[in-house]
Amino acid sequence: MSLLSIEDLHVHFVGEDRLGRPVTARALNGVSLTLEQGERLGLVGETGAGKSLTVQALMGLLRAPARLVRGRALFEGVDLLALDEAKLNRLRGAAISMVVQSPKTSLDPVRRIGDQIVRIQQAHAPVSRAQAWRRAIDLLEKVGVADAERRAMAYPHQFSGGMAQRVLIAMALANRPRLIVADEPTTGLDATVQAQVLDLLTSLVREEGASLLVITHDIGVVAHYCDKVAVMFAGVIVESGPVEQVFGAPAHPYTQALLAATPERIEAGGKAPRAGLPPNLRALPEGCVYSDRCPIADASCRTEPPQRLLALGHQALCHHVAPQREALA
Amino acid sequence: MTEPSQAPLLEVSGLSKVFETPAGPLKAVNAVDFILREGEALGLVGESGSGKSTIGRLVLRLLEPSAGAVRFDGTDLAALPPEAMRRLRRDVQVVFQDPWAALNPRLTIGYQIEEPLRLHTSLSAAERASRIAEIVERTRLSAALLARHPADLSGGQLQRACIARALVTRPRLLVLDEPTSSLDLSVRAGILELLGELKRDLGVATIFISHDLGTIKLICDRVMVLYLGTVVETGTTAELFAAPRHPYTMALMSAHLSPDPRQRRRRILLRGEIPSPLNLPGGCVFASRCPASLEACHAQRPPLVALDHARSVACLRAGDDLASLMGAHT
Amino acid sequence: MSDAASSPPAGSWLRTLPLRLRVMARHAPTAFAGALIVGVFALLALFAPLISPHDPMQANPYDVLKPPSGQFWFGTDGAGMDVFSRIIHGSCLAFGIAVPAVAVAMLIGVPLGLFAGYRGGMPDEVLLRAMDALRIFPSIILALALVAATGKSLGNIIIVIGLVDAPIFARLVRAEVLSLRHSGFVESAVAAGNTRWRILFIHILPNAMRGALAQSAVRLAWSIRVSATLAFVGVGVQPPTPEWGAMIRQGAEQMVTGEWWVALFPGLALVLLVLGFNLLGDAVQDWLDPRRRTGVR
Repeated sequence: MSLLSIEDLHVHFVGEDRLGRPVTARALNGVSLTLEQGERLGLVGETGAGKSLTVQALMGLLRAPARLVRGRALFEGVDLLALDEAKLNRLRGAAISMVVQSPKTSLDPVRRIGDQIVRIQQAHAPVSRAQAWRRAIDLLEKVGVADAERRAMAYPHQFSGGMAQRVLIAMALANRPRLIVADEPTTGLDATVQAQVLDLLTSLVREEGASLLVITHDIGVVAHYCDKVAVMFAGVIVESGPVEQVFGAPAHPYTQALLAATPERIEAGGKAPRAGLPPNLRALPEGCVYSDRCPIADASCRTEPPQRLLALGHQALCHHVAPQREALA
Repeated sequence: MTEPSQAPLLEVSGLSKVFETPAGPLKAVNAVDFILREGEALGLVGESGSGKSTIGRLVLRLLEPSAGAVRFDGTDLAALPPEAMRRLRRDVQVVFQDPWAALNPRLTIGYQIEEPLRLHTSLSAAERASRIAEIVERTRLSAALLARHPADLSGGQLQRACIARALVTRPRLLVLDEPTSSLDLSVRAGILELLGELKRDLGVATIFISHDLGTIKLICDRVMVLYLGTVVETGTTAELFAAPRHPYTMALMSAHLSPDPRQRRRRILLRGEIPSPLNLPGGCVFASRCPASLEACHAQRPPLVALDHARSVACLRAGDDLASLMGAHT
Repeated sequence: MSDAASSPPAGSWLRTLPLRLRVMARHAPTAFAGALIVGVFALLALFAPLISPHDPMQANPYDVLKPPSGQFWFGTDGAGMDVFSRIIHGSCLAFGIAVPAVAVAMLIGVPLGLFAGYRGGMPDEVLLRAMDALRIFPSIILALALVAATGKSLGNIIIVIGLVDAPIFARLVRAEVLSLRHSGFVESAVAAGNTRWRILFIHILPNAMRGALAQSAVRLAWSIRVSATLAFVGVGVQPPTPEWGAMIRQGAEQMVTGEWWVALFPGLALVLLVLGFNLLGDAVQDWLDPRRRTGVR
């Protein structure tokens, strides 16, 4: 059994336009992915891909006008989407924890750092304050906060962005989670600090034997800190597999375009303009969601694309994946 | 690459900026010198607090320098009266980071692209229209968008409009302040390709400000690496990327995550974080985080020393084998 | 371009108006009610001479203090003038005072706020202190004193109401200008080589008017109230001009003797129109609030 298995997740935004006509934005259109114990999976995509929405659905954080249409998210065999709020609360912050994008706003500004780490422990287990405080100091030391005893008494505003992100990582680790979800964990941090934080996060995750789901728009983060990658476009995972394989031999036209768009791979003054508009979730094309901007799309793309297995664990959702690679599988 | 033959178009010397804040003076830029020749693209790279954007605004005189001179074609912009400076803006244009904020939400795209022509030229309406048609085609902006307002355009289209507006008066110097940082990857690629093409075709001198080494490498002829408002290293792009000589440049490059998982990284782990520019260390600004720092580094600020005709480094240990000292491991 | 499909083509505004009104009635009933009330009174004001059955200023000694009837719908007052006709003509006056008064307030307040916010420093400081000082007096008392001092002509009343209300617009515009001054597009406009004059009036001002425009309906309501109050206490528009405040004042004397209609109907008209403007103002503010403008993307 996989640690986490998301199956055919559909989420729509339902609202009205200026003239009161009903409008449906199809934000997630059948997201499926699995995450094994101890794996680090990068979920990558651009604006409108639905990366963060997938996580929100998973964590039970969907709010109107977002509406869960169908799908399951099995965590250790339990469907998170069918759990009531109380049961979900017992999992969140304990078996599943989260590291979010803006550390400064995710910490309680009027509570000492140490107390916040104590509270998250006491919320899930009957531990004494002294015990929890000791673990808080341990955790802060582990995430590289120098002089942890003293810094535990400090308030969030006394921490820099990078340090606050370390504190969030400490909090995420506090209850020995089996799954850590990191939503753009280093966006907004400087390059040298980003490297420090990612090194720390991935080594601690490995140490604890937990699994990591990283949401990011940064190809480099996935390339260097994940084992597997899932590429999202318009609410669909178009390609997934081991990082080396997907990045080394991208099969789906969108993955190819995305990788070709990194500064390292583009030629100055080259080629025609790229279709850079985010997908219009209110008017997605029939069949393949990428077909209206795909350079190799043809009539067959009007129908639902098949999930093609290319190699062990490497699959792409496309009618036109390279045939020799298909034979390989 | 442009051969350094002509007199410099832009000559910046001793440029400093101190912001007075409630917490005390903040030294954003400290005695920065550089030159830019016609047609050349200079990259300013650094992290937050490096002063790269402040330098851009000082060159454009959107901020008044605290000290130093910005000589454009022989005229010191810092000493120019406001009206003369305003007229000179025809030759010195800018594209900012956030295209959603850079355009007036109440005016059409077409008006905003045309505005610099109205301000700086006496072209007739027909001549202006043909200039706009030309620049719109060059920036691959659909002519149908000219009648629209900024809210109707995507980020990539807005940034193309900003580039068109900056180029419509055919300026001689263009400052690009993180023009692709707030855009999605595939949109960014289109803008970078466009900028590369414009550089090739128009030959306008460019100051390219970015925190992203990959982008800098793609666009620039020369690079200037900044840390806490101080130039730590400068050189041609090819040489600097091939063999960085300052410990900070090395660390910055090792922290850059290339999209290729097979490309092994030399990891240089820095201690701590960037100090506050409110109280700069007395010695080398990087000494507090530098794996190769000595006692002497904390005592005095190393000057920017020319190693050869193109490369300068501000490091006491520039002569030593820093790569092995830095504890780089793969 | 991705959104082009959902926005109606230009020029179809009038064609989709009935649909828009239906949507408005369903989703923003208070706004719809406000618009309806203001609209009806505006029509009354516009076509007053055509609608009113009697001459509003024609005293008739034979029909003094007649109760409401088929001939005089809202009865007659102490001079025998038709209350209904006077209310209709009064709405003409209500708009005729409030609209120019708010225009005067904007004409004074907007440039002051624009200038103070853009310049900052001393001029800004002086303006802020001056406005604080004005706030010590309740604005109605201030208006009363000013009108009493300068004379009761219609022009004076309009100018005084506008003057007393100007600080509100100055504050709103100043707050917007303060944040716009450092915005990206203003910096871009400077970098493009705009003159100071163009930056102020072409780039900042049109974007700084949002708060002021949102407030204008509420300020119209306030101006109508103030002009009625002035007339009621006898320093505003003088009888026999059909002004609602003045009519209420006259009717108040008859209230004790049982002729309730003389004061009640102008009072109702006043309450209704002020309510209409306030409902409309709330809706406009909601609509202009950027946080509310998040539809389905």
